[in-house]
Amino acid sequence: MYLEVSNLSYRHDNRVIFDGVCLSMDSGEVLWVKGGNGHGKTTLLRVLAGFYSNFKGNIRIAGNQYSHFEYQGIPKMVYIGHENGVHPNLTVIDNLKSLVGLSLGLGWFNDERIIEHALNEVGLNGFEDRFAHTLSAGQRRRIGLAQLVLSTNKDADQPVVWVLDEPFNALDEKGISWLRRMLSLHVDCGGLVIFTSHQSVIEQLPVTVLELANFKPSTSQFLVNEFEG
Amino acid sequence: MLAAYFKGFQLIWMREWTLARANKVDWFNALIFFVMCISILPITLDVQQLDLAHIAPSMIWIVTLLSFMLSADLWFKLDFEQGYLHQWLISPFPVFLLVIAKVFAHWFFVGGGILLATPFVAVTMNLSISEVGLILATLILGTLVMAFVCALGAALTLSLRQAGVLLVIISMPLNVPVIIYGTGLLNQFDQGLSLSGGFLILASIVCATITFMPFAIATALRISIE
Repeated sequence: MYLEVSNLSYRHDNRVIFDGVCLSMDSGEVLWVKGGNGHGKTTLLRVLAGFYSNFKGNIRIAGNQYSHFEYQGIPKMVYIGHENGVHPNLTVIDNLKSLVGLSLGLGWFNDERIIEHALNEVGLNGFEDRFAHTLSAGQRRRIGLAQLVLSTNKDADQPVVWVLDEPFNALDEKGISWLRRMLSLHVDCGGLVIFTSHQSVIEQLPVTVLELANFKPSTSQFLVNEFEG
Repeated sequence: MLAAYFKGFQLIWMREWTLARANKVDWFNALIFFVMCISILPITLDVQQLDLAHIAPSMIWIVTLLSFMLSADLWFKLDFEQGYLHQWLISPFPVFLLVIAKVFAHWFFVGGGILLATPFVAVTMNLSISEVGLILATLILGTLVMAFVCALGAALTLSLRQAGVLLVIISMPLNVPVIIYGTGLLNQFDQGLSLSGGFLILASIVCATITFMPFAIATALRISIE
């Protein structure tokens, strides 16, 4: 089991965001975190990504157990949140270079051929030298998602985990179907995907669903149902 | 380990370099502010009565500090709003390393511009060549400390909407030691005293700043993002 979470809870300002979350994932699996607005989907993803260390419970990654304050996040991970990390005053190509270099630990990634291949893949060819502030929200999202192209099948010994917060937002239909293909490709390579979405956009993948309930202290309920698609 | 550190430093350095080349406004603003302030001050003074060369060094130091505080407000702002700083926290590189790279880059652009302009504004204030040299030498060390201290102020006030004044309130007192010893050196030079002691104190302040500040800034960034 690559990623195992037991009894994870998180409070912020004495307010319980989520409580008693358990999940386990192996490489080649997809976890879909569901729940209404304000139910703590983003917070759960951020805790797993390693932003907040003051959670309660245990996280086990590749056999190593972590409790709060020891947890440093998932070792090989691409996290794409609501913001894409795209700087408006950098060109598309420089944005992707600095994003990939940071998330995958490559440094200033100067292999133009590989970068341009990734931009082709997300449909941004011809936009390489445009400044990001001249692009639409969907195109900026595509710059962020281009990281995924470069992170899949990177090394076989350690799976790359994609943590995606509402990745389908701002994408058009072509973009959505491309991202779907990307997800199944990544899963075939043995990668893991944790994502949130309000749309049911991935029917053909083996998905585990984790549903976060609206947490009020009296009704501490959450549901986990699994189904193989 | 060292190779990975180099990669992280190079990444942020190259990114800031590209940004600074693409939008010159960011560092040019500080430079223009510096030159404007220095040139407007003598207009308000009675230069017949007053020895301008006497107050010029402290003027240059104070205006340098002000231009650093003016520009520091924006150092982390856009990266924070666009989510790039979030990526810092979860990247394989240690955050303090990225902080060092970022602050050094801003020091290079803001401080470099000011250092280049200093000889020209100094000439207009009757400073001798040796005094200009000394001001430059102390400013190189002083701007390093200012850059790190202002970055700490910027990092602490990152999540606030109106950070301007708070940034000044936080970073001004922390800049006092370096200002005292920096300008003190120039007074010692005027009185013909030995400079080595002052320089050593200044250099030790710089060393302490570069050693401890990146960790403080990294922690401040983490708090702001949480």
